[in-house]
Amino acid sequence: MRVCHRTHQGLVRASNQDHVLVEGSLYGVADGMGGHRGGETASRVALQVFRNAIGQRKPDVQAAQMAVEAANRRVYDMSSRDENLRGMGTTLSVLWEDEERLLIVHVGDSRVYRLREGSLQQITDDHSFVAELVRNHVITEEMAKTHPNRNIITRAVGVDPFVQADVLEKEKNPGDIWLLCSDGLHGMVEDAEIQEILTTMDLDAAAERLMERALENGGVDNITFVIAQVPEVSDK
Amino acid sequence: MMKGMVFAERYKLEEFIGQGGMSLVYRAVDIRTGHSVAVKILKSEYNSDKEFLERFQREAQAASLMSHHNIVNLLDVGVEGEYRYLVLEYVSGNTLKDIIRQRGRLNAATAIQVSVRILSALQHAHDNGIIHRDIKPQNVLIHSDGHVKVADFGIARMTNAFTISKGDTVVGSVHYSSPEQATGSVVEATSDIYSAGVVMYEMLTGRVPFVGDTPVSVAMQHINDVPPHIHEFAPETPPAVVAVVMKALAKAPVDRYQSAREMADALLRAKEGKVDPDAAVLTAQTYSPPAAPPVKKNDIPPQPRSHSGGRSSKRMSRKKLRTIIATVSISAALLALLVLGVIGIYTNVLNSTVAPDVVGMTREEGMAQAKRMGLNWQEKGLNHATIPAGQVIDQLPEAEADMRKGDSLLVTVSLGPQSNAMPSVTGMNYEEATTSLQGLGFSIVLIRTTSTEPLGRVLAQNPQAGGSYAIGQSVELTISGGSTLVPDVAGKTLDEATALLKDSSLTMAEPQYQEVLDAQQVGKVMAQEPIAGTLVVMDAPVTLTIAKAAKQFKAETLVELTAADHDRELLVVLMENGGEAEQYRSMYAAGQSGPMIIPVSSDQSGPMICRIYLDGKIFAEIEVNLQ
Repeated sequence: MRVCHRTHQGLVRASNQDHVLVEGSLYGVADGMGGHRGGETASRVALQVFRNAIGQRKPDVQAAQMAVEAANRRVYDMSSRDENLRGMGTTLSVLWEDEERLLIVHVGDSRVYRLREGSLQQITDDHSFVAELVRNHVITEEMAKTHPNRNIITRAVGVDPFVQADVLEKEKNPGDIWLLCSDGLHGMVEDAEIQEILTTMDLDAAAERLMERALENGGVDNITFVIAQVPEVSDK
Repeated sequence: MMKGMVFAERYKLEEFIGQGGMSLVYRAVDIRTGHSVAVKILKSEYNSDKEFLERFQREAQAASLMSHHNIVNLLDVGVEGEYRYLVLEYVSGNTLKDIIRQRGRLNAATAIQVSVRILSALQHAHDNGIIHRDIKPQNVLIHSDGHVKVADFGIARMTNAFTISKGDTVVGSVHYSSPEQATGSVVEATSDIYSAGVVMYEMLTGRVPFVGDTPVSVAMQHINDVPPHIHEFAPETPPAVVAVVMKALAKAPVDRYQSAREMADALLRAKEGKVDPDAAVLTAQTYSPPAAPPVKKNDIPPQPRSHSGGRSSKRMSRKKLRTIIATVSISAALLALLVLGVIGIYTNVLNSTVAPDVVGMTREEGMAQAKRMGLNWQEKGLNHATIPAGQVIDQLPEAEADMRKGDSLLVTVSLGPQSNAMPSVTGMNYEEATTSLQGLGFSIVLIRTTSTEPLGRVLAQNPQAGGSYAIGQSVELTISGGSTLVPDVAGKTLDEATALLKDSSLTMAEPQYQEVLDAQQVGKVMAQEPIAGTLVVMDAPVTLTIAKAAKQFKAETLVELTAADHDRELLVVLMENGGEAEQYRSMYAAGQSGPMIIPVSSDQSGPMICRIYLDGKIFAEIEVNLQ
């Protein structure tokens, strides 16, 4: 796939606690939390451990689950051993490809979107307090955007001894654009605008524009994303 | 550690108390006054974080607007070097949460006392335009002398940025948040009233009104469900008190009390309704209308006097008389305060007393003591492994605390050691099983195993269900999960391989070495056991075979030792590249003698010196020819 990724501290936070992974068949973002050092450590370690556990394997649901568990266990162990890291955790959203298909592995409130035929769709469910309220029809999507507790996430890697990841399998359609992003992007730029940018610009320009818009709208959190495009079928 | 630092040449940090998401809290001594204070310091890593700076300043601002005896007051604000800090009143004692945990629940009179003080603090905050937003028992401090202080004004707004599902903060707070907070709507003073209602519900029943597995399920119940009736858990609670709590817990803000003062009034009225019949009769007889006519709001409250009880007392003993006077006085005082709508019961009247020290006494001795001091006895049983049944473990308030006659001394009495029946937890998930066993006082030993059963399911337990076991008994749980994939480390260096194994939650067994001729391979992993992709239990050992350089050139040397009267250490080295390369090291027994042939090897050829040490001293040097 053609890939483009960016990460930025934003305009408000004192450090960047997001990490990005683009390596071999893996594309991922992780948004760490829990103190200054903890957040940065959790997101970095989770992506590393995940990648190492996968090694050279082909996408496989069971292996994906186990790789998340390995990452979870490692972050959890580090946080229980080190006073400075106590309570840290991270979101983890990863795309794992082979020739035909894509496996999506997801914990937390980072998002995976797919743009197909000009239409942007959120593929993952946010594991957040407000998203669950929306799914239970307690509040509307609009209310969720301004809810004071919108930063509370209900699942994270490294917070509990065990974690359940959502693992989805999707076909690889030529021309599809996949976007993985932390809430520093999807919390700052509306889906409709993301759709327009991805539809009308090439990958690099789109990446520049998305970052620009997230910063213009306040840049209150770290901003991290990966854009990957499945190649069009060559007309031989 | 910042212990020992002095801020503003005045506040000496003495003891680390705790930390929140963005700040560290120390107990400090104010050098000028000798008093203890709490110093709350913004973690320096947030000095350049606009959002946190703003929050910290907002908290300082909110606190500076208030001054009230039921609020943890702000004393000073400052910057020392890179540290921004607030100086707050220091409260030694427990949180209300600790007390509810220890006592199970509180009686209605105590719950009303505490609530009225919380409401008094809230009224003051609301009068100053400040909404607390995070009223919960963890934020209510009970000073060791019984004073109630509400802490963390303005904090609620600050908990948003760094919260994860698990922290007590989030789940804890959801239990006390109003329906409008749960939906993210505009929050007004009536939201604090709701939270105060939840806190009172918990004091009375020992549990929060809504429990659930997830913050979302709790929030949804706050929005939709009627809480279980207080009488289900605390049947003795006076209906008038229940009614007040339920009104505070109304879903719609307009259906609740519209001010903290209004709710406090209602509570005090409910308490009056509950005064025992004797006291009620006395009040009626001796506190006649002229002393308390309907008073208009702005009138000065009549000061109750002890002589108001005088006339009905002629035939009574002096001691009893004093008691009656006291009862009458407090009733008069309460009524006066009530009519005026004034909250705050710190009126010094005649019936003050102090808490006796009953810890370590038997229940009977303790009760007698409490009675002598004019206090009610309220006890709760607790199993204890070493304290014999019937002995007092703990009391509240502590000994010597100022109390008033008729107050309750809350006492924990030992029920002696306890054993419980072993439940069946096989088939449950690990968390349920742990909760269930820990609830019964058992401790847990976890064994992970790979399995096709769902992750975390308990596959076996030992001891098995049934049978009675002492508290503290450890139960071995074999659970599914904790499996990990062995990564592929072939071709990696030892350091890289070690890191990869660690990342996959595996340990490394003592490595094996194999000689190779290819210098490029030296130091790298040649083989691994188990092989890559094997599914194993976490922490399983992996044995690596590491390539080491083969020595191509060989020779032999002859060492001849005579017998001696002690064991000797024999060391053979080759003088190579200006240093010594160890070839052979062994103990040589005292009586042993005769020639030994020792092979030596090197990657260089030709004549070399072979040096032989005995017990660290050079014994001989022999030239060998390596080929």
